[in-house]
Amino acid sequence: MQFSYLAVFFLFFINLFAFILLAPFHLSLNVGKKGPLVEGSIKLLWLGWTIMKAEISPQPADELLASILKEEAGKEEQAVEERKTNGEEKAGEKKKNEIDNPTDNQKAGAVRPPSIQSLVNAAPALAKILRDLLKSIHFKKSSCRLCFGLDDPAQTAIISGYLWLLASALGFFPAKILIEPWFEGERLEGELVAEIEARLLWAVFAVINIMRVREIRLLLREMLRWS
Amino acid sequence: MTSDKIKLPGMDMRVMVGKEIKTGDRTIWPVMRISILKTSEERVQAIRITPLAMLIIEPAEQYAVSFEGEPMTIEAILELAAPLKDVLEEAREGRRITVE
Repeated sequence: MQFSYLAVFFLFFINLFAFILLAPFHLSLNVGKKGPLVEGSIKLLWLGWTIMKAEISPQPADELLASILKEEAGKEEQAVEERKTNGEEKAGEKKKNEIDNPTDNQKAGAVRPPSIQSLVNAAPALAKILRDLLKSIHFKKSSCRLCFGLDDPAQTAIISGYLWLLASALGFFPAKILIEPWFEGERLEGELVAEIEARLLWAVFAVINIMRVREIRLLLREMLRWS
Repeated sequence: MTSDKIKLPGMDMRVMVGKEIKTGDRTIWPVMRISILKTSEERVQAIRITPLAMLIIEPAEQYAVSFEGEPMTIEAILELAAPLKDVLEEAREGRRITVE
């Protein structure tokens, strides 16, 4: 009797897990800049439930940038203060440790960033996971319009040529990309509209598959040791 | 009968002044013709930039050079690109010495 309850319990969890993996997530993105105003919205839905919703209210671009820069400056100041206080504390601890255990520094010297060879070895597997992840994403609707102008019309034409080249090179990407050069002066306007549907199942499969590759495991191990 | 429905691609041409190039005391203002080929949906299909002339401003004098190989007067380049009038006036203002 107890065994059957346990089986039902497990079955329920397996079904729930499968349901979560199979039910698609919908992400709708709409960001635009017209004149000095930036506005848009980001919405993440799952089974009709709104998981995340963010609105970018119409705000002049320079004000938006100023607020972002202010926030970042505040964070940096905080980080510098924390580093100072932590540094003083750590310096004290370090001195203590050096006296207690002189071999620690030698060990720390052995920590290196992941080698280029590991990255090269893992590149094909990384490309595969990227392909698999892209397969799991379905673009229901996507369009991008960019209108830009530099202070030199010749430069505007050259840059728009490069952008067209890039857009045609990304021809497999289903977005409608519209690039309009503006020759009358400096300008940056545009909008990005995208509706993306993704299932976690393929992403999970891709991660499991990738973890079976030895080169990736080695790279991860190196990265974890480095961090 | 069907000609009403067919829209031919349009060509938009304009003469513009590029960004100034400074070399020592000399400033060069390029003048170019921008030809934009548009599709029937008004989307830009191709751009062609043709250099036409340049206005050269030196501390001592100002003169124009045509890329067509013919002599060009200041008046001719101003006729071609009107925004250069301000540039020229500014340069002349800078050179003018006021005697009190």
